[in-house]
Amino acid sequence: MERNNLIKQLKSLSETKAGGHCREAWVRDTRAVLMEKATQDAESMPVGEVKQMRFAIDMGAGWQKMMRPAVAMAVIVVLLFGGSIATVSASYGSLPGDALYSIKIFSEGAQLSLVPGKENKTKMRMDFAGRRLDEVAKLVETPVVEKEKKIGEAVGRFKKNIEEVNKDLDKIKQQKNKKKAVQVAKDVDRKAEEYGEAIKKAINKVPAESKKEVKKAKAVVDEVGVKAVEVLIEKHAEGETEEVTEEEIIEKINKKIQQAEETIAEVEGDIEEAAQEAFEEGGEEVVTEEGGEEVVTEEGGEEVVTEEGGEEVVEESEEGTEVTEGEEPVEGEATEETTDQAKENIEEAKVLLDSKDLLGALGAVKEANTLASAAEEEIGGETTEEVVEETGESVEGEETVEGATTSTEEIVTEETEEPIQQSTTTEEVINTTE
Amino acid sequence: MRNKFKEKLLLYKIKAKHDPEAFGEIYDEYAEKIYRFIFFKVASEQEAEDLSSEVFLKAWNYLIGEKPVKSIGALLYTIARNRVIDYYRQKKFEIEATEEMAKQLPEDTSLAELEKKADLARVYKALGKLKDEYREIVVMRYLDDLSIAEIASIIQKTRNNVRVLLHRSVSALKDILEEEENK
Repeated sequence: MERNNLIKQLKSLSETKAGGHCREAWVRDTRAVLMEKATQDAESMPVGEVKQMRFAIDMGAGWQKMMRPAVAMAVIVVLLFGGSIATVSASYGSLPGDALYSIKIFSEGAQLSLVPGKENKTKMRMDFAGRRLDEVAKLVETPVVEKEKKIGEAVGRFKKNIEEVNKDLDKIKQQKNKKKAVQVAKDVDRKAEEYGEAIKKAINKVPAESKKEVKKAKAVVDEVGVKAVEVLIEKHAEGETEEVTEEEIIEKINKKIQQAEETIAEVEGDIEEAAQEAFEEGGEEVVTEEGGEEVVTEEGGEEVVTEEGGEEVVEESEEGTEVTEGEEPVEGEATEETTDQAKENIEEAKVLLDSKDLLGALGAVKEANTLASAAEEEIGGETTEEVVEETGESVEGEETVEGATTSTEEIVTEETEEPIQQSTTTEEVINTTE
Repeated sequence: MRNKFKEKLLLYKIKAKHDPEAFGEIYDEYAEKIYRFIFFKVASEQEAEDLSSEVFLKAWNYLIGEKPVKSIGALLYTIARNRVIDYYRQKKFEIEATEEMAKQLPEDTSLAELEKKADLARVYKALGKLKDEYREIVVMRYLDDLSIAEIASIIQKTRNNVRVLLHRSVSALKDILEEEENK
């Protein structure tokens, strides 16, 4: 391809979606939110205080007269942006997949950027995570198309918010203002418990395809709760504080132990369920309990054993072949071992808590939670593999890109007519004269 | 923005009067360009939209601050570049950032619309194989239609360096295309 032709092709690529042609709806919605924010900022600045700000534009004299009709501008601004304010308000009740949902998410980002102090940001992130759970609850109750996908989006954003809070807590741990740090940690812990309970309630109502993600979200929120208690312990260890007492922390750790025990029990339930499914799929043995009666049925056309009303009936199949016992899946054993280890950790946590080793006890709870998540993941992993095998789909490896590793420095040295310094700060770039 | 006088006028309106409408005009001019610039660096349309929105919000906050601004284009692209770097840092790609960025061109789903334009599809794919620095400059120059001077102020190089880099980028792209043809 000729050089000129190639350049023409590149230019026409910009007209296509693959060439980065963006969605009109996104352009419009983002504009509405930006205008909303800009209008608020403009209104919050009293007219008398509008200063001739220092900025490096050499425009020449007299041009300022063009800017005079400020009052007219203000009227236009009000007329123009009345609509966009309504749009943002209307977006509050939107759900994933709605046209206004991106505005809702973006306006939250804008609020986050405006709120001062990392403690306030953390609290706000936690509140936004709560909104995502409300959305899940609404989606579960509402008959919508692509329900799993939409729930997946809300859950994904919930996890993202909580993970951000988790990172925030690491910074808050270093916070010298003990009072503030303790307040935030308590707030996070309280909400984490609240959200954990909400997820537990929702988990049975979400579509089967969404369950795995919802369970992961539960693990993430439990983790952040534990991290919050860790902050409380560390702040308490730094010296007596009125904000949090040892008794309070012990009570919180006990709750975390209880929570971990519940999670392990749930995982064990899932393991049993998975083992049961494995048997059923293998067509070897089905065990069901109905109304106190036990019915054991071999479904391979081999033998039927039924126990009803105290009578045992054994029927040989027509072929009269020998009965084979269903084998226990090896994967199930592995996950059971993991949950057993988790249980051991819980026992250890209890012992450590009795001896007032708060951090040690919490560490053991953390370990138990990690193991429970790993066991849950193992069960989930088996299911996914089975689905792939069944549908016969294969996943091709990603194409590797060759020669993509040259760093900026290499380019600079390649062209060394003039040494160039790379700048990463916005300020430096802006101040550089052309 | 081609009209320098208009851009400076808008800049004044924003700096001195916090004029939302002026910012709206800037947004209209640059929304697609900034989106495209980011789109070629991240994994999905969704991420490109989120990051682009943030870039404009940050730009607004910067513009209404006290610090002087010489060029709105340079400001926007610089914020976009830094935001993409932060994005990869957050994803723990610090060391392999450049390499990863190069790999993370959007998936081929949108290629369907290019089916009828086989050449374009080939150029698109070749662009994905270009190293990040080259791709960035090609996108700015030929897809976003920025001038050499604008690119120079964004990537902090002299105009001559930009010209040389651009020449090498197109040659590299050409080589990739020829290599593909000969396969």
